[in-house]
Amino acid sequence: MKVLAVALAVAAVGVTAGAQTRVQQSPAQSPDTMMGEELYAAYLVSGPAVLSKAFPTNQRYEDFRINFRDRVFEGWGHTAPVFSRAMFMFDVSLAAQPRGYVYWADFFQLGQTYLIKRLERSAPVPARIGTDPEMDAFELQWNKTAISFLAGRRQPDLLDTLARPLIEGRIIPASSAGRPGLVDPWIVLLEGFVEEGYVIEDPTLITDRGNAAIKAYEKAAGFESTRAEAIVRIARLLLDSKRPSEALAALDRFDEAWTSEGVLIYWARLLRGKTLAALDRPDQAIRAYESALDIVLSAQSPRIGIMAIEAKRGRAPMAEAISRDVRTAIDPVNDPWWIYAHGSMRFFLKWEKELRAMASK
Amino acid sequence: MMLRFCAVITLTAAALAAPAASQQMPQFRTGVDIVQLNVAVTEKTRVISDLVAADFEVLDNGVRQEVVSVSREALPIDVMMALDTSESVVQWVQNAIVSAANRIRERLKPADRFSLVTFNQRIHERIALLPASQASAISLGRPTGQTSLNDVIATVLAARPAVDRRQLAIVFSDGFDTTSLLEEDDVLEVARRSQTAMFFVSGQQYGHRVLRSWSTTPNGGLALSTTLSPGDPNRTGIAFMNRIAAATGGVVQVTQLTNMTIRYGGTTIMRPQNNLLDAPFIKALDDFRTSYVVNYQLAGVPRPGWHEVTVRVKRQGGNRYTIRTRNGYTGG
Repeated sequence: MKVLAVALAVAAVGVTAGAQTRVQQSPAQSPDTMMGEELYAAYLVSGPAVLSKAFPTNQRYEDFRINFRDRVFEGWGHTAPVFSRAMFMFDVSLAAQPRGYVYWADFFQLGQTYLIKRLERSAPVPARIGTDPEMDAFELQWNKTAISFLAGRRQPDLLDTLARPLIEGRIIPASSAGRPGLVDPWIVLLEGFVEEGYVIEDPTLITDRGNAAIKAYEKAAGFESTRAEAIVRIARLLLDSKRPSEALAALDRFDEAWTSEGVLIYWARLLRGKTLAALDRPDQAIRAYESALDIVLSAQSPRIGIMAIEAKRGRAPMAEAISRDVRTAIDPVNDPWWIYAHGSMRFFLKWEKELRAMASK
Repeated sequence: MMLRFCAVITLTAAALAAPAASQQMPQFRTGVDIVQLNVAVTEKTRVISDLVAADFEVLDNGVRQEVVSVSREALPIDVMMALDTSESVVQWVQNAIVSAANRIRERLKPADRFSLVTFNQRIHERIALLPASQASAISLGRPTGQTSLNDVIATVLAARPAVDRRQLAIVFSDGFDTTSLLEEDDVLEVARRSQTAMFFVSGQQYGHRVLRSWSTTPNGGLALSTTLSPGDPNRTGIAFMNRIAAATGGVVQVTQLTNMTIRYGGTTIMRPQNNLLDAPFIKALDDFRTSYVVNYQLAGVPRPGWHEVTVRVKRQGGNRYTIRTRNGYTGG
C-alpha cells in the first residue's frame, strides 16, 4: 500500500498542485469532511488509505457523491485522461463498498465513463482506438478489475450495466504493435458471465438467457485462453437445462492440459460427476467426484454428490458415514464450487495488482 | 394432506430388543420388512391421543396393510437442528434462533439427545449428538456467506436414527439456496429414503423478483429504479421446504421475521423480538413428540420403488380428524 501511495503521489506531480495547496492550507481537515478535489488531493498524497476514513455514514457518502458528480467530474472529462483519476474513482468504490452497492457502484460507472469519454472526444471513434496503446491497456484492465469485483456481488443487472460497453466493443484493447486488437477473449467470456449470471439468480430464465450464455461461451471456446472455462460453463448450463447427454459431450471436449488453473479442472470433474449422476451412471459419477477430491481433498461438494448417490441406491450406511464426514470436517479449505457463480471474481486480487502496477507507471 | 415419517427397515430380533419402552411393541421375525410411520392425529387444535392399532387403516400403494404396533411418546427423540448462519440472517434474527434452540434443549427429556449443525455455504456440526444436559452452549458466530440449503437438507436426512430412537430435524432458513451442488430433485430422492422427519421454520417469502433497472445519468453516474415482479410461491424456498416436509412427514412454519415497529412521536422504533422463533420451534418438537409411531408389516407390495402411503382412522368420527404422515417412501 505504501508503494502505491508513493506511486500515485509521483503520478500526480504537476496535475494537482492546486489541490495539494488546499490540503496544506487546512491541515486539520479530516477526510470525512473533504469534498471532490480536496479528497482527491489527499488521495494522491496518502493513497487509498485516506478513503477508509472518508465515508463514515451513508449520508456523508451521498453528499460526497453528488458534489463530485456536479462539481468535479464534468471538468475532468474535458481534459486528457489521467490514470490516477480513474484509480481514485475505483478506490472510492472499494472504500464505499460497505455502504451498499447502490452507492458504490456509481463510482465504478463514473470511472468507466471517464475512460470511455476519451474515445468520444474526437470522431470518428474507431480512429482513436489504438492511438494510445498504454491507455487502451489501462482502460481494459480497469474495467476487467472493476467487473471482477462486481461479480462477487451476484447482481447480474449491475454487472450487465458495466460489462455492456466492453461487450459491445466500445473498449477494444490495442495490440502490442499499436494496432487495434481484434478482441480480448475475456470480453467474449464476459458476455457469457453476464447472461449466465441472470440464470443463476433466476433459474426460470434458463431458456432465453441460458441459450444466450451458451452462444457466448461457444465463441469464447474458440480462444485458447478462455476455452477451458467456456466449456465448463457450457456443460453447467446444459445440465441445468436438463440436457445431461449434451453436458457430458461438452465435458468430453474439455482437456485438462488446456489450463493450469486447478479451479477449472475441479469444476470440470465435479460437473462430470453431477452429469453422470443425472444420467444414472452412479459408479462413473462417484469416480468423477473422487477425481475432484484429488484436486481439493477437503472439498464439501463432491462428498455430498457421492452421499446423494449412495442414498439414492439404498446404501444408507455409506451415505450416513459421508454425511458425518461432511458435518464434522474441520479443514478450513474453501470449496471452489462456492465461487462458481461469481464469474471472474477469483481474479480480482491478481488483476487489481496489475492495474495498480499500470497506474504507477 | 400433510404428511409424516416412515422408513423401510429390515428389523432383526436383536435390534428390537432395545426399545422396551413401548409395551405395545411386538416381537418380529428376523428379515421381515417393517415400515414405520410417524402419524399425527388432531381434531382442530386437539391432539387425539387414545388411538390403538385397531383404529388405524394403512394403505401402501393402495394395498391394505396389517398394523402390527402403535406407540406414542414411548421412544426417546434425537433432535438435529440445522440453522442458517448465512449473510442474510440479521443479528437479531440470529439471537432469536439461539433463543429457540435453547428452548428446544430445555424441553428435551433426559433420554433425548440434541445436535446442532449450522450452514452457510459450509455445513458444520457445532454440537455432536448428546443428551441435552451435556451439550455445550449454543453459539452461532457472525452471519456470513451464502446458503447451501439443498446440501444441508440432504446431509441431515442421510443421518439415520438409532434403531431404538426417533429422529427429528428442525431446519431454520430465511432464504433459498445459492451454493449447493445438489438440485431439489436430488434432495427429494434422499428425503424419500430417509427415516428422519424434517420440520422447517422459515421467514416469510413472497417469490418476488427485484427488477432493477440501471440507467446512466447525463454525467456518467448510475441511476437505479427498482420494481418488484408479481409474487410466485413456486419461486420461494418455502415451496421446496414443503416438498421435503411432505416427503418426510414434517411441517413448514412460516414466521414474519420483520421487526415489530412502534410509532413513537413520529419515530419508528425497531424492536427486535428475541423470542420470536421460540413458538414455532417448540411446536415442531411437541408436534413430533405427540405423534404416533405406527408400524406395519409390508405385504402384497413389491419392496423396491416408490410406495404411496395413505393412513386413515377407522374409529367413529375419525373422518373429522386431520391425519398427517409422510406421503410415501422409496423402498430399497
